[in-house]
Amino acid sequence: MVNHRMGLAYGIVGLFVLLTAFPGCGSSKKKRMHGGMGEIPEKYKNDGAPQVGDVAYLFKLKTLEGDKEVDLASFKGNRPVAIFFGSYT
Amino acid sequence: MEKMYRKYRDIAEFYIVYISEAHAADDEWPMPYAKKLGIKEHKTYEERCVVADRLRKDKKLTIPCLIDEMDNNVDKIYKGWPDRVFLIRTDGRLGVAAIRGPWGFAPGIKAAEKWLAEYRKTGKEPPLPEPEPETQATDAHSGDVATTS
Repeated sequence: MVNHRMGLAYGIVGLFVLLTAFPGCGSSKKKRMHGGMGEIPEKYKNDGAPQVGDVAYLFKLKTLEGDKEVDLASFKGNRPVAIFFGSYT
Repeated sequence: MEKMYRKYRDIAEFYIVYISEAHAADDEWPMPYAKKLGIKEHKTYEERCVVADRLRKDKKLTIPCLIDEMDNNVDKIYKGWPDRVFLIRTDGRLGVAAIRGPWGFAPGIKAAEKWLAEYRKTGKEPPLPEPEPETQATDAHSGDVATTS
């Protein structure tokens, strides 16, 4: 019986040590929110990117198909534009 | 992103702006799948188009895709790399400007969807936040009022 209790105690201590050493083992809401990346580093919070309320740079770029050039200025006063910057990787 | 496009494309324009790779196979921090797929950083505009096309086909994306030039000018102005979400209001101001990805991408999508949902519901663009008022702090020792903006 004593051995059984000792084993349980060692198990609990071991689990505590594991979760402390490797917090990623846990499933905190904060981690899930940011894709497991943890807190946003301060330097990325104020990295000089345009902010809400700023006048947007209305660019012209060609479509993937290369058949036309899209001018964002053409939507001004007419339709909002959602833009997703990104790449495959 | 694709889901939002299909839901709101009748009231807004949507564009992916394809920029330089975030974690290409030949990058300092390559993604395992970038190596597996052999996606290297594009050296030419044509190479960029090929990978963008591959992304759209593999992920079954129908959102129109614009290709940034090789000088990455649009990316530099918006600080879009590695990924980032913006929404431009009809008055030409930004209604949504997310924090850079990967931290800010999902919250940016959520913010854009919330903006569009309100726009559809009310027929009006959500108002921009009020500019922060100038704060006045009194110097306890001198009694002077310091104004900061």
